[in-house]
Amino acid sequence: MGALSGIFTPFAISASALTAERLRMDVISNNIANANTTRTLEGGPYIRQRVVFAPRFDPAPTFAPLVAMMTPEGLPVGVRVTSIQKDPSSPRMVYDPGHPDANAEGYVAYPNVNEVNEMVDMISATRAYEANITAFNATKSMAMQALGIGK
Amino acid sequence: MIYPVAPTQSVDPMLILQKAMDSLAVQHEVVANNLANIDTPQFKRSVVSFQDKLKAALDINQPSDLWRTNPMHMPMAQKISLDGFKPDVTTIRETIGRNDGNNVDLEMESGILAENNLLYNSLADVTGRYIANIRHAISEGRQ
Repeated sequence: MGALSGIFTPFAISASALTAERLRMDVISNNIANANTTRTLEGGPYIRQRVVFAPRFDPAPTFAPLVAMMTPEGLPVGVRVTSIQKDPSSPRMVYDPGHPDANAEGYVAYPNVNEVNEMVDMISATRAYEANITAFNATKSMAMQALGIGK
Repeated sequence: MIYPVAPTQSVDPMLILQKAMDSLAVQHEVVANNLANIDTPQFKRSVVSFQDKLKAALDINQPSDLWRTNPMHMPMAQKISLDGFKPDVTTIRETIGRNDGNNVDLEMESGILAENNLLYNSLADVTGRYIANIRHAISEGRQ
């Protein structure tokens, strides 16, 4: 990362966000795809997953003008996904005695996935992705202009 | 009564353009980082300021060891140095944007990004024209 510092750093920053948002989108898609999965390898219904974002740091920056924004962890350069965690909320119980996964009382445990929430998260991820694409294109435009000086 | 040491002072315009473009590049990097962390809980946005600082650094009336106390005194060139000039990066920790403690505003960052981009491109254009003028002076004189 240190070697990339300077004019190309914003590319890496935006790219890290694009990767993170795409992973978030993958997880959301997986949640929606498994919204009605009642059996998994671990047993029980599918459990909703969430991504956890944290700032990404470059511990050894070489770009001197940015030293002012240094933190004890290093120079902030984008975002990373620290983990994918399971949503601890309880499963949705639906009365369906004929279902092969129904319990003794006739209730089936469905995943704790709410399609509406997932759709909202999906829109949020799309917008964030677009914002970072815009930033990426702005970086490219600036780099092209700088390369064109003196032509 | 104290008079400015140097009523006219020229600083290499290329140097000013270079410092301004470097500062804008830093600002762009900071905005890109804010946008990258738009969904990071507890992230606080940073801002860059350099215009006032650059203006102050170029001010011929800035405090100096040399002072003229009479307007009839000979003006002397005061050295204006931009060495070590760098923009200020500040993290805004006071504002609360959303419930997750993140204070990045997509519209505001997009606005700064667009403005910054235009300003950088125009400075690149000005730098190019300045070089073109020099080239003109070098080559066209022969004809």
